[in-house]
Amino acid sequence: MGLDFVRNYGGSRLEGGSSLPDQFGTPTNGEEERQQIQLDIERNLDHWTAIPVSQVNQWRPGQWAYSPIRYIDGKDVGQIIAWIRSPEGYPVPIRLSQVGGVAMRVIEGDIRREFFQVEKVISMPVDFFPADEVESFALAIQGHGFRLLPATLSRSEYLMNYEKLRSIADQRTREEMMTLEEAAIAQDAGTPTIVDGALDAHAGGFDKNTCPVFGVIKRHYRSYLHPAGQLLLYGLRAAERTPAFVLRREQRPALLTWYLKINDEPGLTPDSGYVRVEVAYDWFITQHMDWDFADRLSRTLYEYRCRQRSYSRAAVSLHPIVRAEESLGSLFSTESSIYQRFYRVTEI
Amino acid sequence: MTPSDSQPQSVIRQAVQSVWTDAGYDAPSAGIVPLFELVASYPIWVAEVENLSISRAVHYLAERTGQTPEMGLAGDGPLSGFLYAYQYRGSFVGCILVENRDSVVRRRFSVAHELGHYKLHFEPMLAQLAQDQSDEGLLITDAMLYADPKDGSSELTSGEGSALPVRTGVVLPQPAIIMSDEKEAEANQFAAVLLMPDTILHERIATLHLIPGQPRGYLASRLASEFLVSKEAMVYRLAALEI
Repeated sequence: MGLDFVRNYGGSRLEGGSSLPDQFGTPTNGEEERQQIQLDIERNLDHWTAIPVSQVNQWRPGQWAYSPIRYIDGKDVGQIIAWIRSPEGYPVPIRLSQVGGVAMRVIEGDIRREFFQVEKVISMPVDFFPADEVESFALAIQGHGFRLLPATLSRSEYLMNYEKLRSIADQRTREEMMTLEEAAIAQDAGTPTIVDGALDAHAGGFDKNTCPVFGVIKRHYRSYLHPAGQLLLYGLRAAERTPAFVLRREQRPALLTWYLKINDEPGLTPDSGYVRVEVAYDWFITQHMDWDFADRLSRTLYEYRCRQRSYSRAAVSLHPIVRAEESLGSLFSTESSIYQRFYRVTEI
Repeated sequence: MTPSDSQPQSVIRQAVQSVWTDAGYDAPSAGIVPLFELVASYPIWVAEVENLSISRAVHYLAERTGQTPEMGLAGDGPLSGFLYAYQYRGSFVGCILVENRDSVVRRRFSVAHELGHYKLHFEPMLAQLAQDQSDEGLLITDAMLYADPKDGSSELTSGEGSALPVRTGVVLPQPAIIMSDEKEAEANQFAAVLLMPDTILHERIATLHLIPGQPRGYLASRLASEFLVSKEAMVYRLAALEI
């Protein structure tokens, strides 16, 4: 069977138009699960006021032991490039992507690429097909530099829902990107590190009790705050943060988290310009940190805010993360060449 | 026939190596193990069956062979894998069935597990019969059960099986050798060693820039798709190899 797998199951090209918007920080990041929110950990609810972080006197981020000098990002560039029919006749999407993870290190003001991994992957729901044929296909594309990512699903529930299958294929690719980010974190997880996105999604790359790895979340799909806290968030000025609060979840480590406004230039929407910072609560406790830590980390992140107005997500981005994204992008092949290669080897 | 004690690791490794050798390979190749190509070097056919159970297996084999087979197994709960191997005076029927609603990675593990029973338990018994110049034949069956029937993704399994003597073409219910938990564990180990060869894993890990003392929690996810196995299976394998 091998490469004939795609053709034998009625493979059709799908060219253009199915590329998806960036999904960093979507609710699938564990944000929808049940959790307890403890808002009064730093301040009583009655005393929730903006906390300025630029007032940390006689101090520069570079002089602080916990100043993050490693920045981790991932990239997933791809789209549904073909579809085949399951043995029952239902359409099944094939997503072809380049995924990568990169670690950037700040050295005396310079941002240098420290580590990267880039791969070409094909993700698709495969459980509808005979295992020997899937194996044969995976072996065949492996010989052409592609890795199959089997997207597993509940057969009876989703087979007839193409949109669901598509999102499962997308999600599988994204998981692989985060695994590569974890690999990048793990290269030196003992060094203060910022990861682009939720800590939960990168938990395999560091020890939550001992590693100073912090998450910065740019997109906010869920509100954690009480009404007064939400009003406070909308009213934050640049270099101000909310009081910290704790998220306790089932079967996941507790997180200490707060919002930080990094950009309040005119023209931004009210819900823009702020990020949510995540710190493993166990680490915060075991390392005997206090609220000064939150101020200093916030101040450091503020200093590293992206000032490149031409960058589309500048309002919520950190400069080293933007550089990481650019660095990864330079390592990727052009999309069309990869897609054409797939069409050529599968003869569709 | 006598039940043997738990097989040492070296026996399992030898059995796995013989699978590669029998298929014409000197050693495992990098990446995904061509499991179905390896199985094809044996007179065993593999089929995927929906709602696999012992009665479904009986039905399937009856359709395929034209004869209602003896099983030597009781119960009719859901199965992830099933092995039927019968030999008597040059007549051989070998079949591995797997549940086709399981994930692909789970199906592969089930096939490898049943191949493990064939290599570790069926072949040595046949060799012993030949050495004894016995007129007896042998029927071996194994039913691979789900640890949690609701969770087809888990490869934590238990199983039950038996080896029955065949005399004058008749399967005798006694004395039966019941597949022990140890034998099920051996078959699982065989599957793990076959699907995730240690030499290839070590080679791969050497190229992944792993830093001593740094976290490795992501490794199982990273390697599972490279070997087309589940993350859970890879977690166990890496732990067994102390990686």
